[in-house]
Amino acid sequence: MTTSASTEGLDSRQSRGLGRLLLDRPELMILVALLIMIVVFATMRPDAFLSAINIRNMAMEAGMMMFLATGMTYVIVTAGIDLSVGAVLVFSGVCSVLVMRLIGVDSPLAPWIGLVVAVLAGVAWGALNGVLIARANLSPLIVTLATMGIALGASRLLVGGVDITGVPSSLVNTIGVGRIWGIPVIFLLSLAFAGLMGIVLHRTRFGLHTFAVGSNPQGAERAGIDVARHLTRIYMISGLCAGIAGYLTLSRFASTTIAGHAMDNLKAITAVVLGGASLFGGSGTLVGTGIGVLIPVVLASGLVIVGLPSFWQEVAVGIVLLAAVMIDQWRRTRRSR
Amino acid sequence: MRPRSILLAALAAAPEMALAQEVGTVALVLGQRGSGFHQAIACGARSAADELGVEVEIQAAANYAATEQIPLLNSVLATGPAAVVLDPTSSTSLVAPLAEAASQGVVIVAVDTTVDDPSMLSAEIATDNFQVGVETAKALVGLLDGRTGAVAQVNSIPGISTVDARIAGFEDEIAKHPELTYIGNQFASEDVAQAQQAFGSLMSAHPDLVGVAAQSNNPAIGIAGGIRAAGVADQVVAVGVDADPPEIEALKEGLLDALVIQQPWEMGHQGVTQAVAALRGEPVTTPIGTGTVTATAETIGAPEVIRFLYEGDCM
Repeated sequence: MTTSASTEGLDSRQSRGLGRLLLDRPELMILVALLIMIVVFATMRPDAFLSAINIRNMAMEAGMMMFLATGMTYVIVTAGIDLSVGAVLVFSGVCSVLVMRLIGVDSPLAPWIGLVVAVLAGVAWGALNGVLIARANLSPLIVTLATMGIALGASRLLVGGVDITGVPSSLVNTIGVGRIWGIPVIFLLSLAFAGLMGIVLHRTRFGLHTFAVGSNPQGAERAGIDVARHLTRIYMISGLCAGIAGYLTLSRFASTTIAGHAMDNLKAITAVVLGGASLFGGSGTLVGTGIGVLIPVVLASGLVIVGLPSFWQEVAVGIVLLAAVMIDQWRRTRRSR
Repeated sequence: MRPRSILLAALAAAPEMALAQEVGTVALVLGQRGSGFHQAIACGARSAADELGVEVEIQAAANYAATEQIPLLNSVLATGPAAVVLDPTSSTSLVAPLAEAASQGVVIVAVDTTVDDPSMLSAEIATDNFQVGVETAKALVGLLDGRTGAVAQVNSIPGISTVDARIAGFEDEIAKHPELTYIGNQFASEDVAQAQQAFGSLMSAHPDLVGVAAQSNNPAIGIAGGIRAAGVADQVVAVGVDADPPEIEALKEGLLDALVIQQPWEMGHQGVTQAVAALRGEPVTTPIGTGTVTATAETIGAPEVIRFLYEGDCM
């Protein structure tokens, strides 16, 4: 039997050893790694690493990435992949700005209509991905690689390749740079969103079906799940997440950032895999993804603060990622024994 | 004048550590690593910091994008620098983070480009980009030496204010020469291969093409490749901007015929110098235009050109 995250509690009752616990809950190991990093950076430069500006900065970065990583978690749990998220993010943002400029940036309705446009654009790309993958039976890797190119190219066509401004200042001030009790609004939004999506993934029938489709699509089909329809919805969720992220990116940068998201897809995949999800599908948790999002963020700011050249950041993230995948592999072989 | 310079000399003679503490650290937050241009800015900044006896901390984003530079800037600000010198990767996105830093008393100096709302900047140091375009056209016209035919531009991406200004400068100058037919500009992204392809298409569409210019490094390297592939090095005069090692190589091979070189070293040097002046409460010079120098295969090895090349290992 393939163990999904929702049934892991049953296994750990049988054996209480720490090794066994880490084996069953891979996100715990990555949590330990994260805590070690935080302690190291906080000891080396407590004044800077634990300063309000740095904590806010890390919260903001993690919050932005959490949206894409949430959608990616759903996709990876179904053994899929979505390379188009960064491009869909850009496309949604571009459409949203264009529409907001059309109705006038000072109109009080503009931010709301912009949100609807961004979400619709994201969901539409997700639906296209989903239909091609689930109905036409094409490889997710290739389909989303293709839609990534199309979405990015279409974005550039819409605006002539130029980053455009015209984001309503009310949006920038309340969301983009806004804070509640000193906490960035974007971080609070990401917490609420990830919490909601976590409940859906781990506590609802929809979530259970997601794990079932990822573990064994044939079995899920025989159990009466409409696998094609379910997969399509999963990619629509990923598109939705990218659409919201595109809208929030506008609010944060006060302009489109067409060239700035080429690596977002890989960053989201990294976070999900670090969080203990398996690329073979059927396992993964949103809590794990949350921790996985934080690791590159903490490394990025921590390494800058201790004064190491920024080249080290990619090296460090790569090593941690390799370790996470090796642990996943080791776990599988242990289980199958 | 006299007593003041004596005072300055006395200040310069003071122990370095004391001075470093006096003004605090100057942070340089560059838009891209692994680029010769940014290395030269870094080298200029280090040299100024050494002369002035201040500490400089250098960080650079992996890719030239505001989405990478802003988090980096925030991490650097967490270390509490007294001044930040940076080349803004976006004129709008950096306004909010820079304004917040300035409100906490950090001195901000922009080099290479500027931002839409420069009120928080203590100094702006950049090349006059319109003039860069004019210089590329002048170099092209000079090298064509009265020949007639079509001329074109191949450039990276529309909407980058520096590139747009250079394109305009080129068009303005080339319009003064009726013997040359300007057939327009091709955008080919920052991708060398795409620029090469764009040149190939231009060449086949316009066999009378005699001149081509690129207003930044990647398209220039691309057209050099295109000229090599088409075997038209003798027919087509090509002028590029900047002086990355591959461009210099192409210049020496005769694929490119002239390079209009900016002065990033000077930008870094002036950036730190003006930041320190602001910190010490001395008069700040702004805006500062760093000029250009035009090099050909003959002059590229000359000492007055060599010191402007984009090289260094200062990050």
